[in-house]
Amino acid sequence: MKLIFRPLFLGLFVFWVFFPFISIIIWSFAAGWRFPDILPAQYSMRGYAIAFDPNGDIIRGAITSTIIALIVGVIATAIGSAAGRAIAMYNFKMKKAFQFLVLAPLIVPGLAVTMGIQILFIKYGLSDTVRGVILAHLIPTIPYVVMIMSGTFANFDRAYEEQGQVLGASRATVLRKITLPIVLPGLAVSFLFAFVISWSEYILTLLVGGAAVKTLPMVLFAFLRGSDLTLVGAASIVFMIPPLILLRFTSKHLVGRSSSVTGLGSV
Amino acid sequence: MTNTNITAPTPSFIPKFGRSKTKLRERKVIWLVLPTVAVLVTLFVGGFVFGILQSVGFFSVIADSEQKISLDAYFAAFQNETVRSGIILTFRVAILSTVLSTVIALAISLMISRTKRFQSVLISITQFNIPIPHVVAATGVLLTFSQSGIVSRLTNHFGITDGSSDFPIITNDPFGYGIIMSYLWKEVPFLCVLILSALRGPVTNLDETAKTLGASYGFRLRKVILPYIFPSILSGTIIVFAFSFGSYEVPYLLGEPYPSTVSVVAYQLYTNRDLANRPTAMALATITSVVIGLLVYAYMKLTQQESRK
Amino acid sequence: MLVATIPGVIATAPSSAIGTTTYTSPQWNKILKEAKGQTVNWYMWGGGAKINTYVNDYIGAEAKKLGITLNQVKLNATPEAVNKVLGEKQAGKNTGGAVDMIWINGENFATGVQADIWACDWATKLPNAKYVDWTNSSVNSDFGLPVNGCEAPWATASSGLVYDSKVVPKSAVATLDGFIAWAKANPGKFTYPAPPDFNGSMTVRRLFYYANGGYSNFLGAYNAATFTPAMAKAATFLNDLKPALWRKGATYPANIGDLEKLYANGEISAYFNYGALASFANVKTGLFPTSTRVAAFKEGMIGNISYVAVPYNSPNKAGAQVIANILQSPEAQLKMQVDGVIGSPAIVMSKTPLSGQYRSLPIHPSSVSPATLAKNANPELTAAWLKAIDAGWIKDVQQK
Repeated sequence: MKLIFRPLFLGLFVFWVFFPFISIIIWSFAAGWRFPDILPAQYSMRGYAIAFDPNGDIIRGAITSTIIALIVGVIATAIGSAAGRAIAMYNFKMKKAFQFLVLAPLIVPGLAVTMGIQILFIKYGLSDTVRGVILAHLIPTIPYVVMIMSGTFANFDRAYEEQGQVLGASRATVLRKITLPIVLPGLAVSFLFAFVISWSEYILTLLVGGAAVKTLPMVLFAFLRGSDLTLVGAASIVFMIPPLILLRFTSKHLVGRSSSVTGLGSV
Repeated sequence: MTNTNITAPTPSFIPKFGRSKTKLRERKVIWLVLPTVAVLVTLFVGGFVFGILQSVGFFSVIADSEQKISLDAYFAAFQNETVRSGIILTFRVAILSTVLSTVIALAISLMISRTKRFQSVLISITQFNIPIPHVVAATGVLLTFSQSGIVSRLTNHFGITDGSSDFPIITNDPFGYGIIMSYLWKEVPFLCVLILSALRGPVTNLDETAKTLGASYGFRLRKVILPYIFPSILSGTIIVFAFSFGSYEVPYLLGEPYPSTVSVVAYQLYTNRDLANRPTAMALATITSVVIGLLVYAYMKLTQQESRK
Repeated sequence: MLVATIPGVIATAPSSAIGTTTYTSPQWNKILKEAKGQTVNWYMWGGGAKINTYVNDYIGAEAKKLGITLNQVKLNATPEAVNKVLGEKQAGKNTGGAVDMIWINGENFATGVQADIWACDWATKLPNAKYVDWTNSSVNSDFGLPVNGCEAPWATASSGLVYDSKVVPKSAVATLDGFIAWAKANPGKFTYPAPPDFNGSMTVRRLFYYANGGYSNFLGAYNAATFTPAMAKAATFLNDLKPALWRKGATYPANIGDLEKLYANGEISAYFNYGALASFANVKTGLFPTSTRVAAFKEGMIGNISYVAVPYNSPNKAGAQVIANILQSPEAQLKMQVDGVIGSPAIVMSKTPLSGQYRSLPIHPSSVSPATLAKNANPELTAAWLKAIDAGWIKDVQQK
């Protein structure tokens, strides 16, 4: 019984994963597509012409988003890895409190926190700036990195580091040549998560950056409120490209033997 | 969260070969922990606290009001019809999304782990949605399932429905079907990644051992596999629930102007022309955070009792 | 465009007694000099493609000629910019604000007045203010609130009915009476966005007038005793209308963009729009059917003037004033009409050297002239009425 059931179910799943893209892709090439037509009466590249216009909002938004997401990814990964190592490999006073602090941003909606902090951001000149947006993006990203890296470090054997030190290597060399290569899968996954979260973030950017910091989600949202679905389709496709590229490079680590993501287990 | 060890669980009867977890002096730990603490305390705790302060009346933005510190905003929130219906909608959407995505992800992950052919392809496919932003997911659901979406056009073409208004309303609808669909589309792959990761861990050895001892799949599932991957499922469910409850973009795009979920309502109140609504927005945000926190705590306590090994 | 003011020229005096003269030559030159090198952040609703092109390409170029960089910041809705300035005031940021200029009117302007966040005493002094009829009450009062030199007129909008002539017969669009009858007989083809969206608010307001036999009782200050029975009448009418609406009035699109998506898909065939005349851009790209038309009811459509205002904490007030002056120049106002950007001019074109060109502008065959739309224009009400009507709609119609 399961012989038929399983392929059917999995087949449905695969179809379900890709199905929503069909309408986005068709719309992106449509020159008007009125109901009840199954396919657009005419096609055009207008959507993509606007989307890839180097002076256009979409490309500029993409550049802003990329810069912000890269910086957020690096900072969050660095800071979160240190914290993850602390949690996984040490016991210390207030450890439970610290774990709670790290997990709380996953529970409390980002909107609540950002609405509250907006007044401080304005006062200290962080609102409407890229650096303010970067700071705000650290809030939802660091917890994921900590969880992933604490899982990685939990499976990490200090003996390797100790051996390196015994053999005379400096702390920095140990870090570079021993630790980093071993935890690299975890770092890759952490960076992926941090990048994607920052890349996709809308409401935090809207509150902190105002309308002045134009990231790609802001641009796409504005188009979604308009009536030009061709442009929405093209912009959505552009929006998906950098994260998918990043996934391509890190996917082997996501579900790998290193079980780095298992760290997201037991809370 | 009483058992808060964010580490991979090690069933007690696996010998700890070559794992030396030496406890080190705390001084070194401070440097590892300090940056995270600095960032999260100033931004996260600070933001949360300031939100509460504003909800009780500090930093009032209305020019001529005296500092009136009170819980008025909280009463206003509960008396607000938009807020009340918003809370009901949000619970419904969050609970359904969480339950459905957990069940589906579990089923799919187990099936994939038992499939020999195409396993790596299937695993790649499950990962595909993870980097897709929620806004795009919502767009996809909207363009596919709206009354003038691609499914409606197909059913209309084949005579199943007659015109766009004959197609069932599953986007921008009062129940929240569109929102749930969009959440599922993103959350199932996320949970699959967690569960598949866990399934590839040491549990496979245990499973093999049990299999050679003659245990059936059903038995192994119940007594070996599920208990082992339970922590992964638990944390994934919590994250998914908290996200579904507090998200803004998806309910905004796929919901209705009224009723809308609590985050949408909170933002509407915050940006409302009537400045007196700001504290109410903060009050709603605080209430939401507390509610989610309590639910998560209760959920963990309950499952702790269930998972006595 | 920047006609050097002849010393001693006095602009037409607004009825409220402030600043009766334009800037003198030396004063204006000082402003021009200060403005050079500034970047003006103009926050405005970004949902109009034609408006955006006009602002970025044409106005941007004119500004560049004077050494000013114009940075258009697109908003989802004007309250966002007002809120931003409010937030800055709340945080004590009284200089160096992020917003230099806002495209604004009505309730949003009133909110700003209430919170005292506008720079005033400049709008009537602009050199091009001489083309503005500041004695006209629809110019010197914004939804009934005195402007007091705190904002400069930019454009006159007259809402119109956008409809698909293949579905809606011409007889149904001559009068609002006839249109309502048609809508009831052809359910599901008409709807409006939910207030507080500005187009939704306008539609509800127009139907509020309709249900109460006109607007004359509601001019002037808000009066709760007048409002309550009037709202009850309007709510009855609007609830009665529900079965004729899209989705039987169980829900409404969130904003004009969602509304236009429905029209583009053919789900609805008629709607009210402040920017009705810009619909033809969508016909050109194929999004709207070629049978799209615009009409004005005999009973009149709601019209208003929109302005640009400058926040008190803007660091680029000089640049903002220069841009406002450019917007009011005859050349810019004419180009707005030629390109079909927004309704009609906010200055008196017949007073300008370009009046002949303006008079002889061709009208799109599917369209009506702005003058036709503006005939028998229904006025806006003061902000307090608007708030009350919007809240009344939410309570008595949407939540019913």
